[in-house]
Amino acid sequence: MEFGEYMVLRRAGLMRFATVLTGRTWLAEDLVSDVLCRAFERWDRISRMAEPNAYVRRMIVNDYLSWHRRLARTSPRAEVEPAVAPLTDGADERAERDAMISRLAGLPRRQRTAVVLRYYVGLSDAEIAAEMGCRVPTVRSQISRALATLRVDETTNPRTYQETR
Amino acid sequence: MTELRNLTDAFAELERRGDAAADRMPAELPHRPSRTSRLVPAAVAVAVVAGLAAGVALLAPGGDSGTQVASAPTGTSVAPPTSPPAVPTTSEDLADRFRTVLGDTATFTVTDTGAAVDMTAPEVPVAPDGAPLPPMSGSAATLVPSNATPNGAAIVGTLTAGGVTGGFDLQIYQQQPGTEPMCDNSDQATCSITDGPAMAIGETPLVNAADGVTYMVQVIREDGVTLLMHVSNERDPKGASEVLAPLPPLTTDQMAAILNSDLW
Repeated sequence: MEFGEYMVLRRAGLMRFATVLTGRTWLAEDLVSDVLCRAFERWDRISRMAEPNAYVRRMIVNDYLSWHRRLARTSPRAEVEPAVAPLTDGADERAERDAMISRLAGLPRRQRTAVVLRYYVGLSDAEIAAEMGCRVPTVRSQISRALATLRVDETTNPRTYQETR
Repeated sequence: MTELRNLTDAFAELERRGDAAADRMPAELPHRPSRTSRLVPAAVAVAVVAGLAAGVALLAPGGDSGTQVASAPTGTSVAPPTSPPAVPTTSEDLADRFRTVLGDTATFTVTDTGAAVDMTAPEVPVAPDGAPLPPMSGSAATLVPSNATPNGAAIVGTLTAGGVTGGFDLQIYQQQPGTEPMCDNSDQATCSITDGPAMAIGETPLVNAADGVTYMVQVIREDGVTLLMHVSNERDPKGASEVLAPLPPLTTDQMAAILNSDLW
């Protein structure tokens, strides 16, 4: 697959993943742009991998966990929401959802990454450990602490969100 | 406790935001210029899309592309100023100030420079003419603030102390007085925050190298002037670069002493 074709097929999905991972569209754009630049440079090697997209996604995770040192000082005071049409109902659900997004944003990055890889991407503990460069017990600990902070009872609904695109 | 469904709802909303952002991104293939120039679009993207970086080093190629090597100070004692000196707003000023503060503790070479830009975010979306728009109005809004003003400077490079060389970056910028210091990675067990002086000290293992580590120290003065420094045993304090030594060239205690110097 040529890099241009990969971009067309996967960039939107990478932006989705990066936005869920970071909670901030500006940071997601920054990460995706930077990672795609580096992936372009190494595309000859990446394109021969069994799962090029998984490799690029891991690049995003690594960047998110390492670039924070400089980007921490660029943290916006608030995410500026894109304009959307006003809604007339579902206020409670939106409030609940926004509260959850807020709690997600407050998680330490490694906890947040572990939760996203588990419940958004649907990876196993071992896969998450490989993705994050840590041990399986650490992954479990990070997820457990994150769920406590998020006030999520894992037993209420065991289904995993299915990453799309 | 809430159900896991609430988490999936949050993911769905974030996906929607990601889709909206993806639609705004240009669809062109990336170019692959030098590392330095790659920092520019990244920084500009941060500035334009977010439009509200608080005291940030936006790295851009410096006007003088050559490197600078610190020299030892003249040896004459420098009396502490009676009032805090102005925050350096150019990388040259910052490098000069850093050289003075270091004395013969260390030498450094600057490889990248930039300005710190403080941009105040609009509390609500604003129309192109600057008039505030009500949230969720559906109207087109611009996220580019008009009041971006440089308020500091940043330098990046390598630093040598005691025969050990490692990467470093240094930023100085103005924040609101009373801003609390924070570690880059607050979940790190190595993060410690002190009140007097207001300071955060942290140690972060680097992801892409087994032995890579970066020390960070942030000092926020009472007037809001903030000094932030990273020193690593890798060439780039962000990581993903060559490991130059087993440990960074400065300890966090030395970094704290440097950032708390009266000579700034």
